[in-house]
Amino acid sequence: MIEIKNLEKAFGKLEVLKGITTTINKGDKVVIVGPSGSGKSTFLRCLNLLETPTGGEIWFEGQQINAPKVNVDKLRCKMGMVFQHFNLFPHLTILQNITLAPISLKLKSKEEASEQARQLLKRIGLLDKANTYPAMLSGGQKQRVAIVRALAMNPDVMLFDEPTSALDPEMVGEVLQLMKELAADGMTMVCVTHEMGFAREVANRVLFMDEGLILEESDNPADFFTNPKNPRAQEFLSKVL
Amino acid sequence: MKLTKIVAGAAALVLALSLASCGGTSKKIESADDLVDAAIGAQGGTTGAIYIDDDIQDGLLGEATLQEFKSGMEAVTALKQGKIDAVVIDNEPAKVFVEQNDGLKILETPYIVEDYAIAKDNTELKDQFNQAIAELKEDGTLDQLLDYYINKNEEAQPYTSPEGIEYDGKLIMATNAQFPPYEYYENETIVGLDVDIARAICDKLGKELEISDMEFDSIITAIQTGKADFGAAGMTVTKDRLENVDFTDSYTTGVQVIIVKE
Amino acid sequence: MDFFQIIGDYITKAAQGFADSFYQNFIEDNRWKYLTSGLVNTLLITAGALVLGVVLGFLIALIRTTHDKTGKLGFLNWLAKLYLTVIRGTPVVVQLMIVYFVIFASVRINQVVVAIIAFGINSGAYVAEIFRSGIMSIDPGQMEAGRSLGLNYRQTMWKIIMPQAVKNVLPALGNEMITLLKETSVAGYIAIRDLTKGGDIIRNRTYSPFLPLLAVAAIYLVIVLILQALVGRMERRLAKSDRN
Repeated sequence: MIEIKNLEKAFGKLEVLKGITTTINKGDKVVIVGPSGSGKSTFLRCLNLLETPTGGEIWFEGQQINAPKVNVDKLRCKMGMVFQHFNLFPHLTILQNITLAPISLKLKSKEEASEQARQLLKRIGLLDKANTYPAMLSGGQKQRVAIVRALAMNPDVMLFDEPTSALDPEMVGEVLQLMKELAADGMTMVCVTHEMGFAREVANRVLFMDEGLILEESDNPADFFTNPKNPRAQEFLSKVL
Repeated sequence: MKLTKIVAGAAALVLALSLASCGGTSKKIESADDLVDAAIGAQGGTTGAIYIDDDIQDGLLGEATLQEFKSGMEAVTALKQGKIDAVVIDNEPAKVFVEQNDGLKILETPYIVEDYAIAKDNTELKDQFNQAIAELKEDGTLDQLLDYYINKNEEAQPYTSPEGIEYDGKLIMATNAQFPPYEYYENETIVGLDVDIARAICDKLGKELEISDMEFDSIITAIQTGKADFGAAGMTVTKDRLENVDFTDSYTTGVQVIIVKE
Repeated sequence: MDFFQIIGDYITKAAQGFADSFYQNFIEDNRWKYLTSGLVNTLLITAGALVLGVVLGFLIALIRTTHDKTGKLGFLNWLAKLYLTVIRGTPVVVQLMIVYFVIFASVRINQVVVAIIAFGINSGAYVAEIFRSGIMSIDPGQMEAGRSLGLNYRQTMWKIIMPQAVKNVLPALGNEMITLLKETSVAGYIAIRDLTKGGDIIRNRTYSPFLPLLAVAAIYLVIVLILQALVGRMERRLAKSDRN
């Protein structure tokens, strides 16, 4: 579904990604781990072109997306993104946060979009907050709304950029729970996270990144976490586990 | 890009707005009677402005409007640009303006005739000034200066202080040096009829003359508040002005005339 | 004559003097009308210039931020920067006279319109920077979130960034309006009878600076206080909706 070939990204002279090659298949739950500054967030943000790659190719559903003349906006409709800091729109109600994009892009009528948003809110138990503003929600609630906001676009893949890093510890669980449910539904997911437990439990593939490269790739997360091959992965895991 | 269109649209709007608002047409003025309904310019605070304003308020000029500029020059500029129909101003500066600007003329009939005097706020000084003015009239100095500045007589000379004169203190004169030939800038110094008369008077009093150039409408206030000792600016004696400052005896006559486009 | 009588006489005289001066400056010949008609012009110029300034400033800010964020609109951005430099680097009274005597040379044009254009162009430069700082103050994550949902740059700008930015800058815009009101006091340079000029005209007729100047100052002050109260109310209302 997503093919990444020799992806490079540099900010001026600083090379952040130095040639990433991997494939993400439909239904994959890919977790990217690695020390901070390893380039894993940049990699994720390249996938929906929030960062423009400076080299290499990204193919999504049979189309090269980092080419000129590609309709980036259409592409992004199929890739949901969840941010570390939620990025809910503070001037809109929870319901409006969810319906804004489907209505603006004329994918749904106002009634359809609202109905869908209610369903989604009901699913995460926040239907009673539909008409309040983001400032009234806790961090965990905000992040769950951000997830269903992305889901409202019916994406083919969901990208998570450290979705629990900005949360108080007691709120991490509710967000991970929702992500697990998504995984169980068969959603294709790419997730940058420090939650090793989540990675072990949910992921079917783990990528270990450091200094702009994938140093270890494993289709068996349990094996990776107990028995990493790469010395730097060993060192990293010994620190975080 | 859409934004380019928006900017272009805004520019067009401003242009349209400005064009729409310049529909007024110039009014042909051939005598003082034609000032009715005209757009009349004058220098703020001058008697010309005051007389026109009074006449408008008394309903003598119909729908005429008065626009008070900061200087006579600006009023004349506005007249040249067709922004107003006529300028009412003192005769002598009017001559200078018309001479310097093509396409302007002075109407033959004056708007009003008046006396010029020096304004002061000190009776003792006033008497000294009056005596000095009388002496200057007597010894021909005043005529000589009028010949030089007003009649443009080539043999006449401007005033120069006697050599070796010693001063005991100074007197500050408030003026608005945009009023040729009474006071104007030449080679970065203020010269003119009023300046020479004032210097001649001060020399007689043994005081050094210092000139303070300010807006015309600040002169009387400057005298009242002691910021200047006297004012000389082709100033006419009026009832309102007399309530606030004293005037010396008149030293020349002024005429308010109307300048129009040819 | 005892002490109190002297004081009493003094007060009576002072009061009489004040009453005379008041009569001369405001009542005689209906001179107060110079102030009221001047005030109307001042308010007209301020309101018109504010509208023009907000439109202009908004466009300039949009050009500048779009250039900053996407690198597009290079030429327009250069123009905008030139405009900001020239307008903010020269005094408004000089700009006013340039508009009147140079740009509208040989045109008979209502001076109030000239003043609205001149002050509007001037204010636009300051409003542009207010808007720009407002847009720049919005977390870049908002733009990313909008774009990642498939909205294009313009949709994100209009539906997500602008509503927040405008809300943030409303108080600053209110203060710009107050500044603008006071700056229009130089309108007299192009022979407009605004409030300040109205006071000047009274002074020119009565030659007493005290009451006309104080009256003009007091009127400006009252209007500024009213505007400030409105801005303050607006600020409180905005703060309230933030908490909800």
